[in-house]
Amino acid sequence: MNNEIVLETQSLTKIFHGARGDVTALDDVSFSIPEGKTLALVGESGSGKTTAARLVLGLETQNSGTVSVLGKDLSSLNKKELRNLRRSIQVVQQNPYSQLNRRHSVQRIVETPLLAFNEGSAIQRRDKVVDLLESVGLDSAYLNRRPHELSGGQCQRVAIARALAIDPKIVVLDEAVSALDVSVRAQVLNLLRKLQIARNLTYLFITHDLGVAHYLADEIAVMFRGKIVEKGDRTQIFSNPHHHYTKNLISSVPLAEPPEDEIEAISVDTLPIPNSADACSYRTRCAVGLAESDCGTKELKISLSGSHEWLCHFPLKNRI
Amino acid sequence: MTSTLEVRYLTISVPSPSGKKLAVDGISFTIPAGKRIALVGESGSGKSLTAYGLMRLLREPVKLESGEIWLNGRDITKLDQKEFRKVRGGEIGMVYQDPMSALNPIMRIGTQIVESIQIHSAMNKTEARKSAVELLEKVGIHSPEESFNSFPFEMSGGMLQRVVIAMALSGNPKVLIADEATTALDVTTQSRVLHLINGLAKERGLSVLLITHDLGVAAQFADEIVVMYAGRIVEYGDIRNTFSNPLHPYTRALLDSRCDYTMDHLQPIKTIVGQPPRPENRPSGCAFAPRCEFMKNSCEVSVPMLEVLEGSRVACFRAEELHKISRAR
Amino acid sequence: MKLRSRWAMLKEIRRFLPFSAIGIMIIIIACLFANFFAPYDPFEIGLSAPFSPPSWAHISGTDDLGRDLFSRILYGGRITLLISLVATTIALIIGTAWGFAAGILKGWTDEFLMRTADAMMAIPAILFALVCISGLGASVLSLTVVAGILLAPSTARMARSAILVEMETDYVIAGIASGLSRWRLIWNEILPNIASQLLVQFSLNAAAAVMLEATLSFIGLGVQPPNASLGTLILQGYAKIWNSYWFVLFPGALVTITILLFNSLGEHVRLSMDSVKSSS
Repeated sequence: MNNEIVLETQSLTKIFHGARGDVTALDDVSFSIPEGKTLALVGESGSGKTTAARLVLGLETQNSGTVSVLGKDLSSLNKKELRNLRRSIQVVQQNPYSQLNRRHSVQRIVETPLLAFNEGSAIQRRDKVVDLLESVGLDSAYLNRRPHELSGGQCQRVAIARALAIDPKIVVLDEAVSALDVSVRAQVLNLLRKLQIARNLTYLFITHDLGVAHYLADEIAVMFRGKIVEKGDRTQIFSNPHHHYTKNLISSVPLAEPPEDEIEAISVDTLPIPNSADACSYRTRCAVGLAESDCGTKELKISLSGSHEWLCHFPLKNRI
Repeated sequence: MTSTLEVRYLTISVPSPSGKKLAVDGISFTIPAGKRIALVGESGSGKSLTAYGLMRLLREPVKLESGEIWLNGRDITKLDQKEFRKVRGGEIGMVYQDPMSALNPIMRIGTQIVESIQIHSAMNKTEARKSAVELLEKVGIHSPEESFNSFPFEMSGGMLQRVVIAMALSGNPKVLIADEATTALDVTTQSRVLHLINGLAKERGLSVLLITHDLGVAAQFADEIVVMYAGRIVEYGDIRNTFSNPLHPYTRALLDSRCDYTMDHLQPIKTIVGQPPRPENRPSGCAFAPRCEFMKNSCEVSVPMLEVLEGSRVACFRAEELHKISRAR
Repeated sequence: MKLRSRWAMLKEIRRFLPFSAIGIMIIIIACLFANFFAPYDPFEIGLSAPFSPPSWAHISGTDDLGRDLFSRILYGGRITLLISLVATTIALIIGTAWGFAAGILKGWTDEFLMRTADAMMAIPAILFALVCISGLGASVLSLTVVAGILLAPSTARMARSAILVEMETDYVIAGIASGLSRWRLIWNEILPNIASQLLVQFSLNAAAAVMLEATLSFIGLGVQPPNASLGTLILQGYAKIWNSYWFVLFPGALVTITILLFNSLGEHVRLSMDSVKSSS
């Protein structure tokens, strides 16, 4: 198995200029994914995970930092080269229906990438589409259907088939299962895993759902207000979290048997304060942060322990 | 235990290309005073229509065909529009998924709460204002005075949902219906809002109907669970019992298809074949039969009725048999 | 709505083919194929007594030279409709390209294009047309071109807002990510989705174009003899309005009905678009 890095970002920063001031959507974000592996970007609204996805797909340009797909820096490419690079990185989005053109048939939707790059004759394309639909569990009866005739799960399968049409190396899954029913979500997750193994795909999985991240991801990066506050593998994140936000996230997940040591989450629903001056943006929600002045003044540096990294002055103690 | 809200044989029809179909087919359940019931189901289960039906918010061509809703000793389906308006927002408070749909975007939130208070009580403006500020504080909004004068667009989703809860509480309800009230919120905010609803319910002896597709939410915040599939109730019982020992194949399959971080990630998730049927495609007999791994031919002949088994109610011809088998293991 | 069979497709078409559409099609077919439908040769004089009122022989009566008015109306309608439809098509093509360019290129290009559109829309249409036609000389061609130019800015605005909305949608993002070139994206992905909006614009513009032709011809700056359009017919009939009311009534009625039907069709498509959007 090749361990080459296929997708990498370095110190990615993106600032949006809005009516009420500037918002730093991404702040010095760096991650890399080796071929065949999955990185989950976990975060809530405002964490910057969607912005990261858009930057990686070349749909936006960053203010500073680099995005490298298969070793190529996106900002060094001209329009034509960028379009060509899209053969290697595809996307599946959250809303099953709106990501498919409602005027097109399933066949037309799935063969769109092939049409875009003028691949194959009409017959070859059709055959490829039938194969793709089969690999996502849909039979050829679906070829002539339109999106509004399908269920959410079926639409999502079509979107996955389309993403695989030109045999990409990387697939960005932007909340790809969040809009599905529980039972359908399970089907699609199984499908995604199966496809990853069969085709040696690399996944960048954007999600707010820790359970999904736990199931699919080899590495998990927890994001808060534009920064990666903790990064590690499953065991490190779930059994030995160091950042208070990670712990908060984990203990907020409603379970049949809630974990014993729930940290009492602070009820801080005040009117949002844009870009507070604190060194740590999580300070106002953190019991420890509010008590320590360093969290307001001292600049944060990444702490490392093997492949586990976090951004915190007073991290939680080791549990393993 | 006195029951606050009792639903009897609620039936709601929706139009379809092939005529009227029963999206909710004769469901009955009871919410005792001070208890929390989770109404759980997927698409096409009819759970949201049930919520709207309870509040008589159904619009033509969707229709409440039959059924009774008993609230504190009277059947509210028989009330006329004017009387029911006192109930809606008064004795029954409702919180929806999208807080923005419950709030007027161009009015300050304080004003909206005051308006709601004055509709359901005899307070004058000063008293109502004071009560509104207290309510805002009660739902966990710090600096309530400042928030009183804010507009909805200035607030986050979590705060807005708290405001909506405050409005729902302003009518002094006996029952609170939360229809996917936290689905659109971040998980940390969801946790806090659910804890808030929990706390308030305990404090005021409220009954809560928690409508959700999230089994974890049901598990942590409900006392009893009603599982709906294709417009009918398939299982109805105590939450702990149902989770540790699901009686209906659908309930069991639904629990198995969960994906949370306590599961073993190396195992593929156990899934149910196919997808939930839409009202117009409902199979005859047991609606779950085509997808059920325990199906027998007899399952497709007639619709199973809810029967009592081990303290729960389950609608499955083979429930008892399957329960014995699983016990024997 | 599931398009399960041809019959269901027909039912869906019927939703989009209200009476206004049927009415317009009747008028268009009758006029464009005037040679088939006209009972008499419009140029043949002395068929009956001049200025004879409507009768079974001449449904709309006759004009000053004894020509059958109904036939003249049909042939006149042909010219009016040709001008209207060609001008509207010109407006659609120019306006759509204009609006798309503004929406996609954004920045200064957008500003420039849209301010130009605003400026053109601020000038009273008749005035603009008068000036242009006086300069170009009155003819069917100049009238068509001027009408097309006049109708383009409003089409541009509609096209621009339509494309701005579509560019934010998920399926367009998916299309870009699939590697579609800009042209293919617009032509294959976006255009089909805004087709009904364009149809609305087309209908409303067609109505305006008919009105414009009738008005300009009425003041003598439109169609010139020997060609006759509905506008020129109204002009001729206007002088005789008290004695031979039919001369003005029937052409005028056709103009009015045509405009009404075009507007109604546009409204109907817009309404059914909205209901589709809200139910999907």
